[in-house]
Amino acid sequence: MSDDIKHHIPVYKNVFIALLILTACTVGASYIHFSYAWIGLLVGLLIASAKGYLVASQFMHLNNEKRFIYGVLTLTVVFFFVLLLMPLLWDENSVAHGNGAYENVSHEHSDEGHHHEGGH
Amino acid sequence: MKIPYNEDLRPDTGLYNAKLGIWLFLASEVMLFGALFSAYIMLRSSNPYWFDIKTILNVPLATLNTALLITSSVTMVMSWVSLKLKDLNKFKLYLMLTLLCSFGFLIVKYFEYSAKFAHGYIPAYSTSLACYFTMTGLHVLHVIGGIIVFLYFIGPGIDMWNSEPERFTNRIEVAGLYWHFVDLVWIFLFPALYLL
Amino acid sequence: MIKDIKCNEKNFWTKYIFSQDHKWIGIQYGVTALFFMLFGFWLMVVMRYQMVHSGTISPDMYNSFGVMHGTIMVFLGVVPVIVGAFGNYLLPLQIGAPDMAFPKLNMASYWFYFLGGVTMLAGFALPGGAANSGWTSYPPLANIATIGQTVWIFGMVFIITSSLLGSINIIVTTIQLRAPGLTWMRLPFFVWTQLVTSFILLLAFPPLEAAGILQLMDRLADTSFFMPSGLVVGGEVLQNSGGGSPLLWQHLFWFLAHPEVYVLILPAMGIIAEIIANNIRKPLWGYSLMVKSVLFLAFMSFIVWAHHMFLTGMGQGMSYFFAITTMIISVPSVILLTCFILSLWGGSIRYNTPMLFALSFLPMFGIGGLTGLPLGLPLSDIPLHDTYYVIGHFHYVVAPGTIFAIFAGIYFWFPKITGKPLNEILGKVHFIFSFIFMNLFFMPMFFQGLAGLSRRLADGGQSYAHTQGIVHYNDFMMYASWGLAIAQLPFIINIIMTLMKKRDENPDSNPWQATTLEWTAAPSPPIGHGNFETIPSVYRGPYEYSVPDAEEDFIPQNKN
Repeated sequence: MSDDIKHHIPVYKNVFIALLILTACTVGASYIHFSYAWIGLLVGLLIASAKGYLVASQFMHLNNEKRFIYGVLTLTVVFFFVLLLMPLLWDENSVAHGNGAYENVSHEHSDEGHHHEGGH
Repeated sequence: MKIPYNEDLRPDTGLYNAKLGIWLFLASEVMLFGALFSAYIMLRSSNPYWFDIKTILNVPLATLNTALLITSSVTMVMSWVSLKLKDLNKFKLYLMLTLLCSFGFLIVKYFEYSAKFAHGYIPAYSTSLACYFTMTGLHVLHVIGGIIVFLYFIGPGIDMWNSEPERFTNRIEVAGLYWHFVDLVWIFLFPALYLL
Repeated sequence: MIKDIKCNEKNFWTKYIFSQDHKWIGIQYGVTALFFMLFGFWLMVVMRYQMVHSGTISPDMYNSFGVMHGTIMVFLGVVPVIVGAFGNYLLPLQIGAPDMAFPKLNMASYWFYFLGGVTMLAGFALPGGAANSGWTSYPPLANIATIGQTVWIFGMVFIITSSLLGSINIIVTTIQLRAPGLTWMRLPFFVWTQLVTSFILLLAFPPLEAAGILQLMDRLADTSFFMPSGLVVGGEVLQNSGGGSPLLWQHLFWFLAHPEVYVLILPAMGIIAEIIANNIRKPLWGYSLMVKSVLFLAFMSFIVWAHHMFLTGMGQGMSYFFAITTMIISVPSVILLTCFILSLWGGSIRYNTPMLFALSFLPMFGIGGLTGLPLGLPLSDIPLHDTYYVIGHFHYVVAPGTIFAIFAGIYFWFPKITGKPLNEILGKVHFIFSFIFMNLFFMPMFFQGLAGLSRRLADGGQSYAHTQGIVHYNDFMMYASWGLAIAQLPFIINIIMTLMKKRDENPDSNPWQATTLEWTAAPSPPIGHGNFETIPSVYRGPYEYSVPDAEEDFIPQNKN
């Protein structure tokens, strides 16, 4: 049993390095100007999911656990996506229906921000 | 009166009670932060005049924070490994390192927040800032909760190693699972708020 | 004997106030919740009086009473009874466990509930009174309401915490602490409903907690999560950052509140299942079908929530989606009801008090469920939304539905908990008058709603022309509410009388000749520390009644 654990130590160190590299990737990717806004979102989400997968499977030993935990988590993930997607699909003018996701996004275009007269 | 499967594993599930308990708790936390992410997405996608906070957020500091949390996750799992290998001193070392990284995270967050407030960027300024403060604020509360638990384990709680080492090891594993989740939330918070 | 039953010396505080024994905690939940329910009931009686004699209380106070009646009944009354009291008390006994998996957590969950209840009620003492923006607490109104609303949110946070701790406990206990031989399909149906309800609570409550945090931020930190831009309050434009969405609150609220209604009904069905199986002296028809229905129902309950929001201007696609899921979810509900009814066929039915309540649950739930159908279809919901039709619908499910199940459960398990049975004659009087007055009180609501009488009107709708044909029902309903109140007296007298009676030396541990472990393996009341003399082993299913060639008409689960 303790040998089993000892074999995991190099794995943890490798995961650590991988996570730092992925962090650098995600910061770097944020400076790239993608032709469509949704590509940037997808890249960010994918990198975050990769990091999340490493933490969950290696640090939290998910790949060693039996069915019950998987079942609970799968259920949660399904509901999480329902919760996440519904508001996007709700309003037919929203981003998820293609309004705004297919525009060329430039980072110089940031708003003036807060107006006191009637508020934005 | 003894409660079954507190330390030993129930054969058909392969779990001891507290491990199942913490995973269930984490499932509820996924829904909690998920609801906040969902709120953020809904507010941002429906608001054409969204104040882009990327311009006022400090990405290098947040990257440092990300590195600190990732490091603390590694040291946390190593502290559990040390207990499994019956090395109490290594356990204490790694738990101290975890605490150090977590305090570091809090200190960076303190500088971030106070810099914002100094410039008048408070939650009431714009909904995007409100989202930023609420989501990172709730995350900070979870970090503080973890710190309190670690302080207990490195302080009065460490006595259990002498009386019930296996139960103590399980407690560290369960605390570690919570801590990895806190790290996981930040892994998604960081790009969502600072980069995207 | 279990070798290490070691009860440490417990003082008054650790034995009765901060007890970690699931049985005592169950009793704490039950007694506290019943008192809250009595208070919530009284609020309703005053509201009904105000609706007939307008001017008794101010409209603001009427609104507060409305909010608190709903909040107290749902969150401080019914759920704590069916989950906190019945669930906590019976679950470990029915699965052959010495206690819940996390006794300290159990204790904490009761005290968070108590704290939440006290916090909520404190609102009445604050300037501006208790929360008064509807139990649904919609912004922008709830955001600009008086301080009672803030206190309501804090109360909800405590209650949600209590609920989360409790659900984790129930799930881990059911999965990990089942006695040897107690496989999944040998579980009493009550245990299945508790397990599924706890999963629903675990996953559905956090979004409401998130919404509560956001509303607190809006109220205390002046943010605009739910406040749209340019809102005019009291003639002046609100100086906030704007850009928020009141709809966002509705999504987050109903994401919990719809699954919450299944939390209200499933444990009640669990109670009914045990009582019906026992009093028909034959197994439940379709046990495995019922288990699958309950699982499917729980899953579906998460994707129907926007049928509470049909009138918010949603697009057609969303409308279709939620109408379809709502129609689908009626299928498992009907399956469950049908299985109960089919079970009765060919049974040797015993008409004792618990069975009378359990039997009446079936048509009452039927009415409640069927009246939900027009509400679940967008077109027919348009004239019915926010009318008394809705109030009639959900009260039929919860009042002569769940509350009757609660009564049934109290009459059924009282002899196990105290070692003394409740008086049958008083019980039957309680039943017949409650049944009559429940129907007299709630049935007119459908007619009022169909005529267009809106909810939440402090004068009962007297000032509207279109209600003149049905507003007179309010008088009738006021009298019915008094009748319902008086009908509870035999129940209260019965309990006090029985508690004051002296217990027999050797009380019958199985007076109903039941099969499940709490009756067959534990004394009445069960052993203070550990429940059982020895942990039982299970050899058969939960409803082995009238087995051919058996000695008696029931075989206990733990009989080899």
